[in-house]
Amino acid sequence: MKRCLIFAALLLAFATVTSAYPGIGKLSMDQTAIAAIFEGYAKYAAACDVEGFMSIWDVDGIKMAHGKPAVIGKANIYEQTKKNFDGTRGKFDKVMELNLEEIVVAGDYAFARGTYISSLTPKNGGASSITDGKFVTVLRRQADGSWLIYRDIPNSNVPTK
Amino acid sequence: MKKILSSTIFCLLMLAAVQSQTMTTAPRTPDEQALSMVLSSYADTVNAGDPEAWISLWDTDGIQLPQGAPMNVGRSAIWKANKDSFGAIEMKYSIIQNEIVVFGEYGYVRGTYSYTFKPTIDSKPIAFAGKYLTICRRQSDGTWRIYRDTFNADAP
Repeated sequence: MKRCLIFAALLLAFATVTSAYPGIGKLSMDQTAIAAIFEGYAKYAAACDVEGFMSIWDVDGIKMAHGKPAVIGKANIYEQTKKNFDGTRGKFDKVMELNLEEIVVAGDYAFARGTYISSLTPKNGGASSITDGKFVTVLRRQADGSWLIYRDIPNSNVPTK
Repeated sequence: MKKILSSTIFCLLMLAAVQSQTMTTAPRTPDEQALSMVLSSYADTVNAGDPEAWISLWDTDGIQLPQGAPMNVGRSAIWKANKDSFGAIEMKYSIIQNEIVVFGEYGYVRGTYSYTFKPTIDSKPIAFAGKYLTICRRQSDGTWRIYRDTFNADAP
């Protein structure tokens, strides 16, 4: 009976993992770990959680955000992220959804591609600002086998004015 | 005379290559050199207004992630979305390659780009600058082609 329950739990976990990313299909262990990084990315960004957000970055990470030059190194990414999150936290309700369409692992590097939708709604009223776009992210395997974000470049689908 | 002509053409080609791309990272291995060449060809074909040569750099399953528009999935979609922009405007495009990493059958080049273009003949040139990350995939014959290409502007 106990074995049946464990088997059922494993099946359920498997179904949950495979159904979350229909564009990718059955996830390997590395892909599952990488998908969790992106779940963290969306969660920490929405919560403006600087420490959580930085926990998924490689020490040599490079953030290539739209509208500014590349930010090189985790310490600099921390400074930029803190400034950004501090300016948003408490003033806006922030929602971020990431949809992974591809995770490719090759040796100690991997890349992921997907789309995002984010919205910022002023807490004191006013219209929401909604942005949709896409990203390519390179991840690097760490000495302990875990994965962290190494390069990240998003861009918006909204035409530049 | 033939030698002088050949040398002149070679020098001009080298000059054109240097003008269209600069490297802050030196490719070390044959694969890195090949990846670097793909990116320099990207710039050269844009500057030459040669869409056929440009699309030949792409993998059949390539995906372009352009700023300001949804993804173009597959080489035929990339061709359809880009072919008419070649030669439609006067454009000078250059790239800098900051990093080349090869991992198995894939590799990426990261860097910055800048370009100026004139919307009309009489217009003043407008300048843009940004950054890119291009992932290439090794083909069955050992060559490399663009598999994923994404970029964005440095200006808000």
